[in-house]
Amino acid sequence: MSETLLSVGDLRVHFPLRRAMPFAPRRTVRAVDGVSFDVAPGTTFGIVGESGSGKTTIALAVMRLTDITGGRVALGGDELSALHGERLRAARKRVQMIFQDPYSSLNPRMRAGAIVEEPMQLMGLEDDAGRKARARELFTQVGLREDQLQLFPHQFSGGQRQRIGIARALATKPELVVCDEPVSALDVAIQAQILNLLTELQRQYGLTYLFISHDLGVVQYLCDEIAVMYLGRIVEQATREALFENPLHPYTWALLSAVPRLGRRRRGAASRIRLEGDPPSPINPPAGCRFSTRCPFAEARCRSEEPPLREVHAGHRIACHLVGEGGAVPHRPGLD
Amino acid sequence: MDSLLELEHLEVEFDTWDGRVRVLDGVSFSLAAGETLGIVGESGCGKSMTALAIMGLVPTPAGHITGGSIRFAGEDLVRAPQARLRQLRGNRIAMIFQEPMTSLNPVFTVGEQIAEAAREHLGLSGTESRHRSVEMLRAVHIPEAEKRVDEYPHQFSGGMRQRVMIAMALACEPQVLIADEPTTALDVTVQAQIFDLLQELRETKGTAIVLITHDMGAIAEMTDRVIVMYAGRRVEEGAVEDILDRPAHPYTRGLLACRPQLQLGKGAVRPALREIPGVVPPLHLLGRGCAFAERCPDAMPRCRDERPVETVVRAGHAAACWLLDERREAA
Repeated sequence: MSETLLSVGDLRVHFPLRRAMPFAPRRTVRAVDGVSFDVAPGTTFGIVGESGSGKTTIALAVMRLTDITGGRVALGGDELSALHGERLRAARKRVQMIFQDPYSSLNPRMRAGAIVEEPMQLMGLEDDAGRKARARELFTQVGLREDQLQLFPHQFSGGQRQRIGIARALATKPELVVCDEPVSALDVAIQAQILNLLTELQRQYGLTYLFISHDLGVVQYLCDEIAVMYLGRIVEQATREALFENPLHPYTWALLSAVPRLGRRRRGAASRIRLEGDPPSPINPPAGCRFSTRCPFAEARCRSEEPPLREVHAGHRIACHLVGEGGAVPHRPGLD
Repeated sequence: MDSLLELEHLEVEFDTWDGRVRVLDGVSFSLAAGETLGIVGESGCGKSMTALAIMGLVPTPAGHITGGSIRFAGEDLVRAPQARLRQLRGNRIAMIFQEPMTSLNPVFTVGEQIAEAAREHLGLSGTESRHRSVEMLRAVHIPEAEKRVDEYPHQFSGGMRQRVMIAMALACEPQVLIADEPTTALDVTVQAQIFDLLQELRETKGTAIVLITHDMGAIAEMTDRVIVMYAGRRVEEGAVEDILDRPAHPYTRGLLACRPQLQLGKGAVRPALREIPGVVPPLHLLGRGCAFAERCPDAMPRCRDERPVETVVRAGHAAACWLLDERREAA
């Protein structure tokens, strides 16, 4: 990749747990455990995974909303992970976030206009009149009416609230927008409206998105490059075309084949890898490959030796012992 | 095919601050033994209310069934006394809910909760019902069932809790299982496990399933027949192939196009996406015409004035849309 806006290197976020008893061993949740990726400006980088895979923690770490245990996060050459105090505050206007729940992420006592103006106020951008003008402009851009600036959040529908959240995120003219499951709390028919709005805003303003989602259809629609996470690590990373045409990691394949599809009538079970059980806990991740406890192809080596994330094709990285050089896969290749 | 459960022109009304609102407006369907019927639509279109009405659980005093009938094996449940409904509920007709986190009682072991229905309806003793609980946990593929029967809901993961819910619902071998968004709160690989389990139960026990969902993918994978609901009305009904391949109602077409459908394998392209503009209108503001007219790309003046009647498109496939009428007249 020639140009990089966001660069995440060997990121680790660990949460220490309280000891069960005074002399019990210390336990740690390894929510994110050695994750690296680069995002080119103007593109959308997707992170997919199931609950507990660490995808939201990455979003929070990039936003500096959680403490980083190790590694670095850099935005266009500036190391966000090393900034403190006033310099961090100044950098925050370059990275903004759209949250999952449009109900709890807006202050119910503030008017919609004030919600959108608040980030500009906090960063000391523009004067009062300038902020008001910018809020009006943003409202129109996200498909709301100017006369709605005076309303309170409860007077809007879920989709409209998410539009307010988007307007607020864009208020400081950020370069990077972190979207944490921005449509999963919305009704099916409304999701498309928000996805189209995000695409349109990206086209207009050259925004870069870090897009966190568990919905693979949405990720395929929106993202240029995608990382698949399992228990705090990236197991596969590729461009949209490569990942969906030719998924290499057994977990990716299991994940993709589990999604109900319109073309697969009443014969879902036949064409999927059936994963037994739930993901293991990130407190004591299994030795070796973290997926080995559920992988139908796991061998002795998988249970003892952790596979590194390596490049098998240009731009297609994978962490699996069983995938050969050039991408020979252990599982049934091809998906119907 | 004999129908096991039959709804005819079911009407449910609620008293609200905005006056009396009709939340179900003439909903009809029939379900045969061993069949899976899908009910699909956005939030607030009456899917869950249909399920609650069948279970005799329409919230009172605000809600009332004001018309129509619900026939289960020939018996009209709308007119049946509460005592009779109690005999049927959890016994012949069972339901699983969307939230496996909140639908289990945290202070009882899962074994006690499964056994309750078996004791109540099958008259089993304490020991027998405990055996039944273990057997049911095995049937839903919970490992180490003998041990886990004595554990509490918080000791189970989300997917495992949904399995416990299913075990509870199936303890008396019901003829009809109503599943209201059973996998919405679960991860996709766990959802696949639950779907496989439901399919297995249908094949081995012949349970008829009503699957309520907003996901057309789940409809495709699980159901035989589908009804599409909008604003408390049934707008289309048909075999799953008809609904997915030849949808007749613009709302059904909208639901199919408004979610990016995963494309896999050689030549997988970025999925298409077409939004349905606007939102479901508040029910007290519905006009005389078609409830979908405001959001419909093909709406005609007639759609706003006159409520569309259901038109049969082909055998077993009907939709309530004036466009079908136009086409038929033009042909």
